[in-house]
Amino acid sequence: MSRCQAVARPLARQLRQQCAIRPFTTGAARAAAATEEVQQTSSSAAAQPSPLDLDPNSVLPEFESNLIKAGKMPIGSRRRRVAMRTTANLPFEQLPYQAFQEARAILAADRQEKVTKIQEELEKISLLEKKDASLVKGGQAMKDTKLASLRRYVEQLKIQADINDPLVKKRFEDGLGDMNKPIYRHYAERKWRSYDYRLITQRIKQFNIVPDVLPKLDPVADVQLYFRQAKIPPGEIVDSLISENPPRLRVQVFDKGPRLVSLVVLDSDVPDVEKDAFSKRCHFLAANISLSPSDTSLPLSRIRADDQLAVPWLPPTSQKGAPYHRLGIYLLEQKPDTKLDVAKLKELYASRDGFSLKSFRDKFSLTPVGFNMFRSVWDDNTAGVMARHGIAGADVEFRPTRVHSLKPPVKPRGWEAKRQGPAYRHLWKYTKRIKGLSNARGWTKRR
Amino acid sequence: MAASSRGSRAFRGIFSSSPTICSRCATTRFYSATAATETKAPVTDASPPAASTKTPYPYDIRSGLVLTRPPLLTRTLHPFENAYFFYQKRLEERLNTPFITSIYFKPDTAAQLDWSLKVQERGGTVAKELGTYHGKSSNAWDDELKVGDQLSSQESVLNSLLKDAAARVSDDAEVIAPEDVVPVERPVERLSEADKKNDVRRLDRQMERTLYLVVKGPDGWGFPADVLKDENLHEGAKRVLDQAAGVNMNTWLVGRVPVAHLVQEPVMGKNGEVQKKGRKTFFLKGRIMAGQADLKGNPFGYTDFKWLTREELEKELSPEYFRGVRNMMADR
Repeated sequence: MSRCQAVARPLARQLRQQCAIRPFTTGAARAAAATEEVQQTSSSAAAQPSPLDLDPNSVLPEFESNLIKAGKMPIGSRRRRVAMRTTANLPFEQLPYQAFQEARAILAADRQEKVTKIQEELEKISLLEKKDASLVKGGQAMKDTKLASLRRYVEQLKIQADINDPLVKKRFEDGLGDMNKPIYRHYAERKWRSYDYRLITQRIKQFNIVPDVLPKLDPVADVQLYFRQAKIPPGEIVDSLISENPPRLRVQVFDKGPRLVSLVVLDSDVPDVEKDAFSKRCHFLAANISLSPSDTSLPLSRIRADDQLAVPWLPPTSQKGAPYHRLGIYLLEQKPDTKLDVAKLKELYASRDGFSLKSFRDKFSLTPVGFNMFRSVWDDNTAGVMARHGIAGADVEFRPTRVHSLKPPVKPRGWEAKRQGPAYRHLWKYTKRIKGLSNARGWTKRR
Repeated sequence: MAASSRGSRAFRGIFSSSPTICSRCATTRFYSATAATETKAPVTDASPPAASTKTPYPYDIRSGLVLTRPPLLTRTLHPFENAYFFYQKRLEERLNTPFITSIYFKPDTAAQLDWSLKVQERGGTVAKELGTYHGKSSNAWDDELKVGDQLSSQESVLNSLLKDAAARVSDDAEVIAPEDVVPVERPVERLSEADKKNDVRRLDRQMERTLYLVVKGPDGWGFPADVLKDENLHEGAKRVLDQAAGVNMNTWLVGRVPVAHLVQEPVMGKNGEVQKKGRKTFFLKGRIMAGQADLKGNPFGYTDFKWLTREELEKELSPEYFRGVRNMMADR
């Protein structure tokens, strides 16, 4: 038994027996009822499960198997479950332990300090805003810089004020965090940066998105890809039947406020037979999509408005024998409060072929903020998909052209090869007609 | 480079360098030497050709001493620290191996008798200050103190330790009657007589804090300082202290490097002549080990002295003065 278990065992045992005299369960009527029930169960035989034993949060070890058979797995450790039985109706922050409450007092004092600092900084900001730019040393530029740095500092302080609150952390981990508040956005960004961001940057690197598609791409928003409710990890090969319908995106941005974005789905591996090269094709293009930290769902099938959808969804297809196609999903942020002219986009990009994301970015001054990708290859369903959507080329099969070596053929080498000539006639019985090397017609071994 | 040209370079070096100063002396200078050279500057300026072109240096270089008394006591702990350490001690009781009395006490000795008497009174708990708590019993999980429990306070810890220290069994193994038990002397209080009277001249005040010696001169309160007279900074500081506060102190100069400096700008006339010289004061740090300041007969016109903490200094010194010296003061 580990040390930790050794410590926990007496606690668990004690909690189980002495629920009635636990001092901090008094107060709520529900607590009294619960303890009564617990007492009943402990007094009567352990065979009768109480309602608390049917709850995966507070089931006792002897009733675990019943619950598991019913399809519910018990939650947490046994020690925690026993503790939950007795303190479930007492708020976590009111547990009357001295060290705990003293620590909470320190954290509360720290938070108060941060809040007063925030108020001070806000006052500074409002004073500076009222001040005429000519009175500020350095003029308007310096005033703007100062304001921006003050606001950044206030944002930092807002995060610092709440970062030590265990309830905030719990709410975030339960998925109940309000993304309009800076602390939850901070937690979400930290979580994203810890794994998903690294994965996406690895995909950008290993699939050569930089520099094939864009010269520079550092995502700052989390873009997740779903086909038919199933989450697709970045870079996975998706069956063409599944990708026939447009996907749904879950986009989480980590800076506050609404903004408008454009969305491009781009196939960067379309074989171009005439040029013996690959070109790009636009599979989806939409602009003026409103995004904010709190609304994250972005189904491509719902983008239909005239001022949003420029190029509708074209199912990604591949041809037999061609290498995989990289289908990149690019999220580009538009300049604040500027709408793109979708009619112009339609006119420009109606023919999907030869789409250049870089020129699109430069033409409309967009900033790439999010990225995700999947891949598509020729599979059993591709021909059907192509037939349904009238895409030509299902009957074409690409074959790799044989590239012959430019090196001259190597002459046979070795003891036998050296002694094939008439000068070695006396050795012919050893150097001719050797199994695996030569026969009556000459040398057979290649290389 | 050819050998011939190298030779010419070497010669050039020999002739160009000044013959009186070697290269090491020219580069290495001690901190305390800077002031000395600066004070010499006006003297050299007095020579006729220089005096016509250069104005005299418009600052007085002064050396001062910040005499400190380090804290005598450790700080009082925050209630959270008390509660936390108490919790850790009980946890330790739970986790470590049980106390085996026979290892530490021989049977049938006075010490063993004394020990068993005290443990019995504590209800069998081995630790002295943890209340009745058995780390190995089935109740051991209930180790956390509730809010408002005074058991973790320093006062109660001190009381229980003192109670334990008193001998309960005489040398010839006879139990001393409760009324005859000689209690152990309590340590001196953290608050001294000087704290209660708020006597700012005594050195035994504010024993948890660092104290600084300030004197009241013609310019108000400040650290003792004086103009350098052809001496190094640390020599000047020593002289200032001896002259200002007497020799009846055992002090130690921490280093020869100044810890703070103050600059007072000179008052210049219209055509650039100096009306009133400015002051550059460099403070060195010293510690007092014993003795007391005595301002009798000091040549600087100091009338009063105080031993103050950092916060009290902030009130007493002028804001510019305090801003110049605050960064060399410790938090405590």
